[in-house]
Amino acid sequence: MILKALREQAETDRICAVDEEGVKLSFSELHARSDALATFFLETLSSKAPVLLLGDKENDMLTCLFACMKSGRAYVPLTTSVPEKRADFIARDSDAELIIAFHTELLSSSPLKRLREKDIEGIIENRLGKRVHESHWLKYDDMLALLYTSGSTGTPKGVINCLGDLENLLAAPDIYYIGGPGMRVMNNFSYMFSAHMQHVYRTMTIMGSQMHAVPGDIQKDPGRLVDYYLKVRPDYLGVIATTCAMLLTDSRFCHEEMPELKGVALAGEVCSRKLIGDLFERFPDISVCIQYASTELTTVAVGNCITKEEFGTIKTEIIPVGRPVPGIEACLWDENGHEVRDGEKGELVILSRRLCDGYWKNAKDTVQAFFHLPDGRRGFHTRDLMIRRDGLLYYSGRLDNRIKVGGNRVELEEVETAVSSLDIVHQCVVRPVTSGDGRVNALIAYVTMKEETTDHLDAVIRIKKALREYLPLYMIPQKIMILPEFKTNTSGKIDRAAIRMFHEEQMEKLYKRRSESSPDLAK
Amino acid sequence: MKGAIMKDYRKIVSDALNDAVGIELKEEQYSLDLIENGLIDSLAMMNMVVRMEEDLGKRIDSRSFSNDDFRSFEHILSLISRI
Repeated sequence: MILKALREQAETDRICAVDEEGVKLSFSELHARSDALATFFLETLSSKAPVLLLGDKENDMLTCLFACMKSGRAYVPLTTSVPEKRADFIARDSDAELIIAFHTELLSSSPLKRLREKDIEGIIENRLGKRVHESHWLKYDDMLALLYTSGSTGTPKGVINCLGDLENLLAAPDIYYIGGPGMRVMNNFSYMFSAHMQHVYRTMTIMGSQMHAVPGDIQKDPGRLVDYYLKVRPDYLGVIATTCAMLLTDSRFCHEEMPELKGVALAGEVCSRKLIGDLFERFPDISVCIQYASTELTTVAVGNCITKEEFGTIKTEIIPVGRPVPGIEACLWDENGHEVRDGEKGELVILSRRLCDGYWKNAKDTVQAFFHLPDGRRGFHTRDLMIRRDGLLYYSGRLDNRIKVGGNRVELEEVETAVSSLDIVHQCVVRPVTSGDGRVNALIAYVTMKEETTDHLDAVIRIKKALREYLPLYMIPQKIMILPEFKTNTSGKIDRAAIRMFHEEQMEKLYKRRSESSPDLAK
Repeated sequence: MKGAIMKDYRKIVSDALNDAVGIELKEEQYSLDLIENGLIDSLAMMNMVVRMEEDLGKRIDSRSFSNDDFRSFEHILSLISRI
C-alpha cells in the first residue's frame, strides 16, 4: 500500500523532501534511488535481519527507509546524538546485519558491516534504473521498524511496528493529519520516534506533501528554528507542546510573518488551554490538530482538530485529546477491566484490528501490555489515565512511572538505574517537575553519594558528565539534589513514599517562592 | 544605583539557576562553562527564561538570546542586563 502510493507519486513531478541546505528530492528520485539501494540489499545481504540507520534527516535516510521496505527487511533508526553505549546495546539487541551511517562515527568500532553516505551514493549510482519486483517487498505482517524507547528495566526497549500496523494511518480522514499535495511541512520529528510514521508515510507519501528537514541541533534553538521556518514558509507544522511553547517566545512566530501557515499538529505532550490560546492569538485562522499516539500504537489513535472558534467553546483547563480515529475503539477501564462511567477516571485501553506486535525479545512485557479479543481484534493497555466527557477524552495522568520530557518518552526507572550505577553514587530516586498544566518541565534526581562530599557542584558535574555516556541528553535530569541519606522502610529499602512527600514539599517551596517574588506573573 | 541593580540581577540569575538546575555558584565560579559541564540543557534554559521573566516582570523574546548567552553565570547576567 505504501510502496504502491510511492510509485503513484513518482509519476508526478512533486518534490517530497528538502534538506537543510535546500537540496531537493523528488518522489520519482526517491522511488528510483530506493529501488537501486534495495537491489543492492537483495544482492549482498544474506538474511532478512534489520538495517541499523544512524542519521538525522538526510534526504537519503528516506531512501534507506524505502529500500528496506522494498527488499523485505526492517529498519532500526537511531539519531547520532545517542550515547555510544546505548547505540551499542541497540545494535546487538536488534540483531542488525548492516549499519548505514550518515555523517557520524557512532558505532565505528562495531563488528557489523558499515556503509557511509559516500558508499550509498556509489551503490545507488551503479544500480539506478533497476527495479525491485513486488515479490520482494515487505509483507503485511512483516516488521517494518524496530523503534527503541526508554525501558523500565534499565535498558532501552524495542517496539515492533509491522507494515500492517499502518492500516489505521491510511484509513483515517485528513482532519487527523497535516499536509496536502505540494504543501510544505516541517519535518520536526526524529526518525527514532513513531511520529515519523505519520510524517513519512501519511503526510509525505499518501498526501503528497513536501517535507522540510529540521536538523536536531536547530530543533533545540528557538531563534534558529524560527529563522528556518521563516526561510521555508511552511503550510503545516507538527511539533510537541514544549517546542510550541518555545516558538511562542519569539514574536516573529505569528500570522503576519508566517501567513502561509494553515495548521499545527501537536503531539506527545499534554496541551494546556493557555498554550492553544496563545497559538490562536498568533495565528487566528489556522486549525490545531491534537494527536494522541504512542510507539506501540504506531499511528495516531485519538485526535481532535479545532479552530479558534471551536476553542472558544472549550471550558476546561486541559484541552481534550479528542475522539478515536476510525478503526480504533478507545475504552476506559477500571482495575477489573470494566468500562468506567462518563466523568470517571479509567485506563485508556485501545482495541483495533491492527496494533503493534509487542516488544522485541520481551514476551513478559508483551503479555502484560497486549491481549487478543475473541473477535480477532487486539488490545493494548496504554497505562494512560483518561476521563471521557461528551464523547471526548481528557488526559488525566499515568498508572506507572513513564513520563514525557520535552515530548520524549522516559521511564524514570531507567534514569534511576543509570544514575545509581555510577561509581560515585550510592542510591537515586528520580521525580518529574511538573507545571500547573501537567506538562513535565524537568527531571530531578535525588541522590546519595558513596562517599561524603562537601563540594556539591563538583559532584553534580561529575554525575552529569558520566551520565552522557549512558543516556540520551533528554533523559539526563536537569536538577541533581544530593542528600545525606534516604529514609528507609522496615525492610531496609528506600522509603519511596517519604521521598515523594519530600519532593512535593520541594515543589511547593519552589512555587511559593515564585508567587512571592512575582505575584502577578506567577499566576 | 547601578550597583544596586546589578546586585538584583545577580540574585535573579542565582535564583533562576537554583530553580532550574539546583546549583548555587560562588562569585569565583561565575565564569564556569555551564553548557560544557553539562549543567544546562535546552529545557533548563527555557525554565530559567520563564523564572527570570517572572522576576524581571517582562517577556524575554527568544530573538534576544542564543544558547551561548547561557554559557556561564556572567553570560546570563550580561543577557538580562541588556534586555
